Amino acid sequence: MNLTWRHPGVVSDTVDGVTIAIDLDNGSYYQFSKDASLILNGLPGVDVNLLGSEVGGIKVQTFVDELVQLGLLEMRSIDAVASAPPNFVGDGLSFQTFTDLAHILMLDPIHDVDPPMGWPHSDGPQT
Amino acid sequence: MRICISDAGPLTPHNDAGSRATSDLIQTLESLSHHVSFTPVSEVDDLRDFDLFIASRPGPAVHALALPGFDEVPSVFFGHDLHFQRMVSVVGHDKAEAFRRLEMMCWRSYDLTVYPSSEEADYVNLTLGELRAVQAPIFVMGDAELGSAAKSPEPSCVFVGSASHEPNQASVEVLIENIWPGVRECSAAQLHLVGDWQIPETVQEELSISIHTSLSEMALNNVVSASWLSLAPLPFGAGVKRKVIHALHCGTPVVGTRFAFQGIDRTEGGGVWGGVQADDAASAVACTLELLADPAVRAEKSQEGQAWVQSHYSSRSSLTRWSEIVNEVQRGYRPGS
Repeated sequence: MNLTWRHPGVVSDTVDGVTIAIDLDNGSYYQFSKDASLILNGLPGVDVNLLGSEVGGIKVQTFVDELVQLGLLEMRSIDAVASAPPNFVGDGLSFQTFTDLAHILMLDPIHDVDPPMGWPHSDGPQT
Repeated sequence: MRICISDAGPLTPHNDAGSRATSDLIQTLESLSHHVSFTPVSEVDDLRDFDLFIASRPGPAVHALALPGFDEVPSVFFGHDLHFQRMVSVVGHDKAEAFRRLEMMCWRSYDLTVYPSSEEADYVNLTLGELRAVQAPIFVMGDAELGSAAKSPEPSCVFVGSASHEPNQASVEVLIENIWPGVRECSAAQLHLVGDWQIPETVQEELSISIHTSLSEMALNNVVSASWLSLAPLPFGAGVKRKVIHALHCGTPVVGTRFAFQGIDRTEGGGVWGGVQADDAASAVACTLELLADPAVRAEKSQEGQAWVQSHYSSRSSLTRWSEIVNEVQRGYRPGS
């Protein structure tokens, strides 16, 4: 069993050294600190020694447990090779959450208008 | 070829420009003899049932990443516009930056990304440092989008847009407060506002403004075609604007900001095809008055705008470009690799 992103409920990527994850069940968006991203970028699997260590005063195991609690990570039967311990940059283990991006994610209200107002209708009686 | 196109929910092409663009794409792909299934992303079972998957807009594109078979089928992200660019003004920097990363995830995850303007495709390719995005027309303009009405005998201008779209709200505010009063000081022109706009009746009478809350497509085409000018003082926004493309197609020159003309090619003199760029209220007033008073320049702008739309947004242009895109993605195309 190895630690990995919950599948199929969570999608993630690391861009510019920052890991983001989206919980597709509730639309919550998570953006992780660079140190946290270094750990998450190594998924699936986290080195046992790393789990037992502290980064910026926070136990890695505690941080990972929090992400499991949030439904972002899960233990799954999946092959993994533990990556080498990363060189942390010192911004700690933290993340930013946007829960109000959910409606933007699916509805894109900037494009949507409420009928019958706004964008013209199909042909029919004119007003 | 079996192509699956997904968006957030059922398409409402008569209600929003994004759905209309997707509908136009479906029609184009069907004209290319492909078998196209439109399915809301939450209802797609398995992408392996298809030969090509196209996700429309970032939200559905992100959701589709978790669909069975996503990694086994060629995929296209149909972005519509760079959402994060216009979101800065509405939701602030932090959320816009979050959205930028989310859009980056789409650019990286899909085999090919398609945007309506070269500028947007270039932005993606520069950001990623590799060629992953291309330009393709987002709308198709044909006879059905033309009005049958001749130009009105009296001077008139038109603004088209929903009041629920923030850039439109800001545009109409500037238009009513800073531009149209200046135009009316020197002209008897009438202004047609198409959309669900709430303007006090006294202001409507004083400034000769007609509001068309709900129009059929044909009626809209006629209002735009009959108007002497289309005004698009968008103070922010992103991507190609259908209101601008449609006005040019109808032979109605556009006075608009640089945001209005995004994706419209520049002429050799630096102007835009079929319109005049005016980024502040004073120059918008001046340009509008100048064009209202000069039928020869209006006719010239009208012709060049129609010619530009014909060469970029005709059914033939769309068919050619999407045929190339489908073939290239199907061949496992990853630009630059």
